[in-house]
Amino acid sequence: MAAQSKSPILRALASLKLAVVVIIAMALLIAWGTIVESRYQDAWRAKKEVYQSIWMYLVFVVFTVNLAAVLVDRWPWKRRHLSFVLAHFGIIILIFGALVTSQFGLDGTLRLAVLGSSRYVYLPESRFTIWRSVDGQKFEALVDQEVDFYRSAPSPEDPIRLPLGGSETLELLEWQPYGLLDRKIVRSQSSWARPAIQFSLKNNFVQVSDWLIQTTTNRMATYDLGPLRVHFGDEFIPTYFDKNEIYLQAQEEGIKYVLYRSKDNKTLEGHLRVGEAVQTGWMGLELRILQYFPKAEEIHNYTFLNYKTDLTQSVVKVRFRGKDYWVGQHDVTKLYTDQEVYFISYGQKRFDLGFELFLKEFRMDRYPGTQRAASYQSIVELPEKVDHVISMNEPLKYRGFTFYQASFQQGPDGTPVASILSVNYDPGRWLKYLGSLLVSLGVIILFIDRRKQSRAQLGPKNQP
Amino acid sequence: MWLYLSAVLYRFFVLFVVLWSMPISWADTVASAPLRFLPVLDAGRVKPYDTFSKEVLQLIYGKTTYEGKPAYQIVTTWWLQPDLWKDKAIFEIKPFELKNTLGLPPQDRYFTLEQLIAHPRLPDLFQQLQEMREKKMKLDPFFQSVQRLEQQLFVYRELVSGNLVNVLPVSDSQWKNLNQLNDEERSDFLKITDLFIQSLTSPNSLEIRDQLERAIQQFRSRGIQVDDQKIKAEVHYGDFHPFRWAAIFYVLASLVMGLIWILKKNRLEYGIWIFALVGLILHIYGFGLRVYLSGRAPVTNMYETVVWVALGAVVFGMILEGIYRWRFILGTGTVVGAFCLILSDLAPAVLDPSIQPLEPVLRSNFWLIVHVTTIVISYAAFFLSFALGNLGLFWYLRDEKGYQERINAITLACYRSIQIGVSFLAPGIILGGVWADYSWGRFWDWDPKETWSLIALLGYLAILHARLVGWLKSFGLLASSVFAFNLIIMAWYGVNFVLGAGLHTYGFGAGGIEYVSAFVFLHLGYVIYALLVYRSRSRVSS
Repeated sequence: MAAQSKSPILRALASLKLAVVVIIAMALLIAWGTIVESRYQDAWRAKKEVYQSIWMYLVFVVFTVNLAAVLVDRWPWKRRHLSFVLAHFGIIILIFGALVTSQFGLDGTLRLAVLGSSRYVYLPESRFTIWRSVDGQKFEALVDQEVDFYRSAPSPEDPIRLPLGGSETLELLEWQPYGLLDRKIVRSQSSWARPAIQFSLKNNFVQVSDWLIQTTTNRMATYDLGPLRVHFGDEFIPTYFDKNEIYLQAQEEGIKYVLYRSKDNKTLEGHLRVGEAVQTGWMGLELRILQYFPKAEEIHNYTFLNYKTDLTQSVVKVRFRGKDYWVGQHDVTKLYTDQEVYFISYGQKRFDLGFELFLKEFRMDRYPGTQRAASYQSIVELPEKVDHVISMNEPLKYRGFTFYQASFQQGPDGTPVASILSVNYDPGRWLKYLGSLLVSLGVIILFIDRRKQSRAQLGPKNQP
Repeated sequence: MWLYLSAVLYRFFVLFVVLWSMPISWADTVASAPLRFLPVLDAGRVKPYDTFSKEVLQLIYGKTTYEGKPAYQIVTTWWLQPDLWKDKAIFEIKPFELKNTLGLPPQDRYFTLEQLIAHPRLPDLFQQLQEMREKKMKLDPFFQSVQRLEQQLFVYRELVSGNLVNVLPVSDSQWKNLNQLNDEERSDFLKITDLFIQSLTSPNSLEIRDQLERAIQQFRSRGIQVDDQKIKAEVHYGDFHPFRWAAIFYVLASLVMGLIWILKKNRLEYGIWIFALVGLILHIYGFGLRVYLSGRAPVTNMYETVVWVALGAVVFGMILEGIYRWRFILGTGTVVGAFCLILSDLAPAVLDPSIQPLEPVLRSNFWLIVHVTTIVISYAAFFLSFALGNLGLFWYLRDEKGYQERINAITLACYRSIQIGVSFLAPGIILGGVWADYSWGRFWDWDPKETWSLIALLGYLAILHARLVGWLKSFGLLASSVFAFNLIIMAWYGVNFVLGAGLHTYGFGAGGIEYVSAFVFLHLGYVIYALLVYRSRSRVSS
């Protein structure tokens, strides 16, 4: 045991009692975290409320101090201390590595549409932004800040006020973590209202119908069905002709359509009235115009669940000029006055990689005779115009970042429309590996030592 | 026309007579047996028709035989002559709530197609289920049972329509089902079905068996080659039940341990070794077969982990027994092994024994195999320490003083197996981190499965540390080894079946929670009872 000369404080910090208390406290705390995650089906919530809470940090601090103290307490170390020192020192390094990762690391997702590129990695943290525009063309950012509603949610009693310049303010009144969106397009008289169109695409296997509403003049609204895109706008701005494209435009004599088939490089033009349909000549798909509103706006209603699903999003209730609106995450809300329009976005914090990745191709193998994916991979083009294949367990390491194949998104007909990569920058990685190595070595040496020891103790006669 | 009709009627009649009057025996000498070896593509995997039928029958009827008749005969007549089955109760529905909602007699367990197919409440229920699935909501037990019923009806319908039976390989990924056969292929296939019907009336006719075998060869020659070796091995695996035999030998080994105590004849110890070794060889043989059939390390679902833990418990029992020669360690190991194997055999609905294709993230990955096998083998050591703890408490309760030596030996063995467990669990968790880092770029993500493994590790580390400074004497160690095993149950079973959240969703299933809870509470009660007795004794003696 410790020598008498050592201070009582050190001995208290190094005590095994403290160790057992800390171990049990940690076990209880993280067990609680798994229950929170299970209750709300929400891993991020468990992280915010438990794993990254002040209690957790406190437990880790005491744990580290305890480990360090016990190492100091046993000084000077002897040969028999080897496994003990390695294991305990390894845990300290592991914890330190985790700290470095959480402070300086980056862990987010990058969505690459098929034949699309992106430079933004989305992080799990939320961000609230407001833009203002007077003419609907140029925008000025008024607010751009990170928010953490799990820790401090606004309430009607304690709202968050955001100044919008002049006498205008926006009040955040309430936060709901699990809202289910119901989107509706209605006719509108507002001077900011835009045209909207409802179309359907149908063959024997697929039937989709959706609304396209133009957000600003000169910009087309686009619906992406994977190998086919539908655009709606007030003038045709053909982008790249590498997919099957449908352009729709409202004209006096009806809805003008231009179909472009990439297979045979053919275009087809004509007009459709509401209710009429045309054969696209592509996989037997029929295009039909279901409704057309020259002036429309989008109404968002939410129902609230008490746990997370893949379709829920968190929503904030905002008050603007005495009227209340729900603003959903991953969703832009527009508020109009007579002079200006405000774009409110409650989205994810994002990180600019500083370079773009382009998704040339997404490949997927399925198990024979089923729709189940057996494996998938993304072929991306790096800024140097070099191709690289990212597949499950074969990440891309590039400029300090690591890109992992995480999942993919499917269109309504089951074809993949986008690849989801997990992007990671982890300066604490080597520390964690070093710590793991030391702990494992410690355990192995402990095992060898114990075997020698017990053989020595038991001797040849060991009958009970 | 009338000739055709009478032929149909004749077939109908023959089947009817055969199905409801004659017992049909099992063996390979049965005339219809060659049909079992017909390869079919189902759920992403090529398997023998035998396995396919067992899985279909298991899903719909809840068993792999029907009134003593083998699955392949029953399932074949389902799609061959569905009319015969219209009024037969073959759809298993267990939950009372579902039977109540559908107004079905609650005491019945099996229902006919007619009772279900046109049931006015069903479309509505299936619609609700579909909405819940579209909204990606978690299904409660009631809707899980609705989902099973939906699946039963779907599979039956697809089977009867012929779409489910993919019999002819055109390429590796393309198989023709019964409806896609062209005229020549169809006429070849009809020969098989005709011979099958004949085989039912004369089940012992070797001639019909040979004809059937030739007809199957003839039909198969129209498609591409399929590995026959694997098909044969899988039928053999299904017939032989290597794990059941292993369990029997483990039970025998445990009985010998009991005999040694009752008769006080230590020489019988070789009996434990012999039975345990035979059991182990069968166990490894079964495992090897499964690895060969699935082409991967078989530790990817609940069933396979239970079988793997059984193996580990016996092996660790042998190692510790080999060192200490106390006779009870290996005996206890075989008790654990037998318990796990019997468990895995009893509850196919919870512990699904079928071989399923893997999720993409789990495929062909060295680290996966290493980390899962390492962690799960630690469960085996902890299971052994749990059993030893129970055994130790038993001797404590009988006579603490009289069995002092034995109790000390058990305590040491228990401590050793906790050490073994920790020295597998800690590196296993770290390897899991390495794997996660390698696959997802995250060393640690507080996923419930990894978190509960860590909680279990912390629990056992607390025990080892407490023992090191003498807080836990032998009673304390025995009691806490029983108690701490609940952490393993949570990490192993609870995360998947109780918490049901997190990244490790590919291992999820449902059910069995009442039995596991009973197991847990029984042992908690046992520990508390032992503790009370121990307390009152030490009060008396002091």
